[in-house]
Amino acid sequence: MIILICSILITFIGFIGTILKKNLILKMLSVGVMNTGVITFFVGLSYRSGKAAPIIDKLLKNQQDLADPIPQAVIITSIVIGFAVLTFSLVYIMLLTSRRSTMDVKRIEGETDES
Amino acid sequence: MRFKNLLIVISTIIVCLVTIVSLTDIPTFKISFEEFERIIEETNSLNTVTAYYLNYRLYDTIFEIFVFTLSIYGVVFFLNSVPSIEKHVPFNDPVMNFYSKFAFIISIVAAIYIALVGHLSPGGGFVAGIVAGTGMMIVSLTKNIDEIKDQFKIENISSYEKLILLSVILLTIFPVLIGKRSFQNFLPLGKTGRILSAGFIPLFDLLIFLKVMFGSWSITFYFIKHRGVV
Amino acid sequence: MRADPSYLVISPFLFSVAILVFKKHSKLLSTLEAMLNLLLVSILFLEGDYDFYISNWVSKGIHLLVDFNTKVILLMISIVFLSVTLNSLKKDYNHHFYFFSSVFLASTNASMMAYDLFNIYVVIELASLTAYLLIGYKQKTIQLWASLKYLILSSVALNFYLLGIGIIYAYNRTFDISKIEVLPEISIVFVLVGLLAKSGIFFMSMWLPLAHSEAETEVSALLSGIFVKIGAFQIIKLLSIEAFSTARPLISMIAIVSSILGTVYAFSEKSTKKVLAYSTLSQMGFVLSGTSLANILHMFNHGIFKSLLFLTVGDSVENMEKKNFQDLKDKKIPLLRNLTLKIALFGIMGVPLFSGFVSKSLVDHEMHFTGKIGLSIAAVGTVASLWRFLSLRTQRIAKEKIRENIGYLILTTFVILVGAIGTFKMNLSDILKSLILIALGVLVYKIFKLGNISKVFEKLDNALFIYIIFCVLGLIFFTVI
Repeated sequence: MIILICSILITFIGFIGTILKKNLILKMLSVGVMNTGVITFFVGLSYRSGKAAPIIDKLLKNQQDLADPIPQAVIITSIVIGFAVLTFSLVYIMLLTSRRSTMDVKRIEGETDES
Repeated sequence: MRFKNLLIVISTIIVCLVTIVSLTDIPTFKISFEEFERIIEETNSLNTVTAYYLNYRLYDTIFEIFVFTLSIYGVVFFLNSVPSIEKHVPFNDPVMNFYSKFAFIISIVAAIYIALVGHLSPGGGFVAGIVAGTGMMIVSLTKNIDEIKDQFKIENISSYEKLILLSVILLTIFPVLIGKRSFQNFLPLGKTGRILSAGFIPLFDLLIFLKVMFGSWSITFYFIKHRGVV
Repeated sequence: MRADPSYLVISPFLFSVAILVFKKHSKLLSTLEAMLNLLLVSILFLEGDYDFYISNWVSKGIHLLVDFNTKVILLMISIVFLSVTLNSLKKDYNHHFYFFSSVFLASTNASMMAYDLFNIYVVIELASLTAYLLIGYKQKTIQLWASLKYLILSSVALNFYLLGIGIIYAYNRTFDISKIEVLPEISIVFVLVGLLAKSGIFFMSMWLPLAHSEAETEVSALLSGIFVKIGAFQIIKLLSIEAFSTARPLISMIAIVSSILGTVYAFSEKSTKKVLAYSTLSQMGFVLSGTSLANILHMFNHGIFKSLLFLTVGDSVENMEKKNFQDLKDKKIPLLRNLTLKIALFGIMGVPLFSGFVSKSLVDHEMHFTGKIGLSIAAVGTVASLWRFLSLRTQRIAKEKIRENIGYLILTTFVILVGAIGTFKMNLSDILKSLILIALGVLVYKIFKLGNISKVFEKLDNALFIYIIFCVLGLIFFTVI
């Protein structure tokens, strides 16, 4: 249970970061923090139904207390997607900052509105 | 301004608290051992996470592979418009030169092992690919850009990537040709616990391993090419 | 045993790899792909519904559902994709564009069929990734910013969605939509944040005006015609099931507010393509105001006429320095393009005999009293904001090549076809009502002038702030009911 509560806290800390941070890189990292929180939430869900890794040992009959495999299995996909989006956004930020020579969201936004 | 920030923080805290409160009455599901035994019967994969990842939910995984591919193509597509840096300064340290090669070999061997036993023990294609990609990256840090190009043959790597992508798609529709359903595990399940068992799971693990290795390395290569090492 | 419709996903994937290999023939391959897709979707109509688990894993696999609604939307996607591809042939897009767009087609097809919460997440993520790439395709600075803004907004929203389905999983131990029984309110709110951000509703998807107006012509057409339908269709799919139905009034309310506010912004806007982008916000309000077949039909029609509008207007403003409408007015437009543009306008305004009229009247029949008033105001606003496009002048060119205009013509056929068939089944009162609304709209256009409205909602921070405000309001809504 404590894992679930902490993961929710991490998620919303990340969310506040995405709003309050003015630097583009920090904003993107906050999105990463938020994603990590959600991933932790899924892992916590797995952990609730059992504490052992859901890998069956052939020699042991009737293993008990195995974790739920489904949340772990699906969250791998989400990790990969998070990785892909983060890489990709870094390239965008790189191009944008080299052209606008600033990382401040307010300034980039203001300049695009004028043009 | 300050009032707005306060509002943001307060409303976030409210939503956060409500979420936590609503979590308190989550029912606990205990999964019986019979369910795990049935998974092994159906897929012959001792690692049940892999059984879900590459057998029951293979359809999701195909999209995931495409997400990865697309991000690589996106990075390459956008970085190609940035002029590559003229003077490339690699790390030039004898200790690092020596140990990077050493680390490369270890990481490749470890990665192949992790990829092949993905259905028996912790591991799998994606992790293995990241391990091998890291090994390749460490070597690339100590070399000149032309040397890297020579050593890893960048043109070949992009054609391997296409080949892997094609074989992944063909593997998913191949069962239709032999009278089964698409995305179905059509290879024989084999004997539990062997490396060559569980149908096409090891095959997919291997393909994902190669895909992620080449992919993560080409992202690194383009970043090094256009931005330098440091 | 019938083959399952996963070929709708596999074939674009195969074509995308083929495009990467045969780079020089990417235009030919993409056209073939679009035609094949249209053919495959038409075959689907001949057969019954599909309700199956892919690769037959009944208890643990991924549930896919292809019912009549899905087929209608799949048809719309294939038509729009075909005409956009045909329109892109005359321009210098390279193989990257066609690669991205084929993956986009695969993911949109898959998203319409998905009936599994996690599968929806993966597919929407893939579609969004292609959308980021397509928006930033020409690498202008403003396109990069539009794309990055969308990337941040969308990632945050999808993280909310993921958290929501995590909570749903914790209660039900399944991601399959048909097996969901218990739904805590907070999870409904989170899932709706994720999906509304994708579906082009005012307040929730404020990435839309900048992205739609700054992207390339074909990309805007794809985004407005197909992409915003992904989220909207998932919402309609979810609201149709019993457990989610408590959220119906909430969505209906937001949709009506969105349809009115979208037209107000469109009416005051000066920049040509932004008018159309705001109009998308308002039309998506019509789409999401209910969950019946009428809304699906409006989704179909909106996909067709809005992509036609974006193609014709976008082609006209493409090489212009200035983006204001006044500058477009000074320019003359080729006859065939102007004609199809006008038919699309009749469609979106709801003139009888054109497709928008049919679906707008049908949506109107489903609504309760306040909803009817709201949607009527929105319909007046639509006419008022788009009437100016009718004044564009025609330039006579001796010979217009059919080949260059084939994309417009395909879409126009469907605007007229649906309108003509539907109008004969409507009551006289509907026709009268729509004519009165159009007259009112013209009156509003002639009399009122609106200055610039503050675009405070479109700032990145505020758009993110709205997400959490929506969560709070949604929770309040659920506790009150």
